[in-house]
Amino acid sequence: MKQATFIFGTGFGTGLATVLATAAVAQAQPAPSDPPPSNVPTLPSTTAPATVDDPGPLIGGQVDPAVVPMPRKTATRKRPAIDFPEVLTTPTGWLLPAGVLYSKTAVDTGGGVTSDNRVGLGDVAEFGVATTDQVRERATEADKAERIQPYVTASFRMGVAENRLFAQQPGVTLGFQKSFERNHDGFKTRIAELTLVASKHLGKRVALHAGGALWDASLQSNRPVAGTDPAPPEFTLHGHNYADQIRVFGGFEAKPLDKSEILIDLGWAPEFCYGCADPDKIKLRPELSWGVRYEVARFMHLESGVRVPDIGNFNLLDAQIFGQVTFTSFALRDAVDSLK
Amino acid sequence: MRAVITVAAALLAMARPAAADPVGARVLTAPTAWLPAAGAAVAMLGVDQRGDGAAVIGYGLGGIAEVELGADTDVRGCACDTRPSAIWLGRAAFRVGARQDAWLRGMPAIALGVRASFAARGHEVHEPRASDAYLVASRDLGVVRVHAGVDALSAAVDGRRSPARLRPLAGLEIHPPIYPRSSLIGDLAWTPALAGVPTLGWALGIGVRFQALPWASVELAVRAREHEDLGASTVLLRVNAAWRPSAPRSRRSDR
Repeated sequence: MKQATFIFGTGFGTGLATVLATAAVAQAQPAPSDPPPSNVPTLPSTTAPATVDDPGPLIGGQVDPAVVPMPRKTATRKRPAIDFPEVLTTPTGWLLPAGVLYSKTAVDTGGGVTSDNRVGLGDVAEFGVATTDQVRERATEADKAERIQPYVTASFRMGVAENRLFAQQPGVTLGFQKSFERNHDGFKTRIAELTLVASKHLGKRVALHAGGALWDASLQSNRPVAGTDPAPPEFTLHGHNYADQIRVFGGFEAKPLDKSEILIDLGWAPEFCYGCADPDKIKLRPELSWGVRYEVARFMHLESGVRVPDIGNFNLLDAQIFGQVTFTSFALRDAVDSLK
Repeated sequence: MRAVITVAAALLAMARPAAADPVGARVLTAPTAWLPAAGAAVAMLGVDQRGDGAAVIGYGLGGIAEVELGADTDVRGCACDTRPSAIWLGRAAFRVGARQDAWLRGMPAIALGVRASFAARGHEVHEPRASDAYLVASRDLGVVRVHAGVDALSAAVDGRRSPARLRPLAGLEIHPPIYPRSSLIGDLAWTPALAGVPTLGWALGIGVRFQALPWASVELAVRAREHEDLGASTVLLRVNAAWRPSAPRSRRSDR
């Protein structure tokens, strides 16, 4: 029997649409110093003072001094450097600058299509909505884990920028990420993560990230159990042992070239096992990623690399090659500034 | 062992500072450590007399990495006891590394790469998968270019997985000075065979590369495999192309 396995099905269209829409947002905003289009009619100014030395009707080659074009301001606005809010999969201690829009879309060889959209709030906070494919499920312990996607999450992070309070102070963020309830294969699942992370530049080309996460997750069957309470029991990660919930994560960035960075990080992701014994129904699995970020343009970065889910049970066949494109835009910031 | 060290020392002593790394992610089957320039696009299209082949496109990521996407028939498979046949497998690869002389004079280019399959079609093998991770070093010594490394390969078919196994990689390119646009190429690599239980088999290739254009080359080669008769060797015709972006001033520092 012929076999044909294809990925990038329905999610691919969504991802492509996100990329195109974000690119449009990133580029549609004209630069602040651009002159208005020449075909836009302008009202004659009635309050402008009359020119004292008006030469009257102009004849060959004369230029009306009242309409001599002013030299265009060529100085471009200085943009703050953007330190990204994620290494590859783990959060950093850096926040997006105020009013900066951030959008990342990723695909990988495991069939995952994800999107992450954020906005920087006042240089002290950040809000985002994302889809993740890191949450996985398996029917029994012997089965192969499969991703649940899309898994929609919302996040809020607040913190202090690097060197803001005192010299050599690392950037620190406190973040909370929570998923919407996900119904899949007859089970309702949810996840939540509270993170505290610090990030520090070591010179111009190296940065380190280290943090801790407090995880929680819940799993409940949709099928009522015969002869008992119609609501099946809910299994949670909390209420057992804090050691099951707390994890340490970290990352490393090196910039060997001006526009290229090498990224490595180690994070965690929840895994649900529907048929396992109660204490093993929800587990946190380590995930190792490494890759390269390349600044194609000021507003666009390409990232690619390798991600190994459940590095604790390392299997080369589980390694995924991913590619992602990140757009950043100052359009909202410029719009806000123009109102001031 | 002493002889090997002596030869290695002699080769390093002969090494000259390289102006720029050559282009090409693979000799024939074995990967090289050459990485494309930042923003450069590369493509490879190959076909053999059986109609099997490969089509791969790549993109240079920041001058220190490359991402590839494509399909090839390097993996053999079969759902029966007969001789395995070629399987079209979609594959993606990510390679990161350093150029020749990047850290110290005389050092070879090195690359750490991972390849993973993501789609398969047009065959009777159930759920074929193949992944490998390799570390390879390449050095341009003028007349010859040498490639050596180690590859960890893992494969699965119909739910049966084989653990990762290490195999050597080797490649050699000879550039006779009297034929500046031609080179003899040969390599040794291992590929998975998915007949029943996944196994590994060597693939030996030898051929000629002709640099037809500054941005394109043509290769004609013969490849033999461990699990196939010599008469089943394939004759491969392959075209490689590389497009480097124009070099605005802001990007020159990346190279």
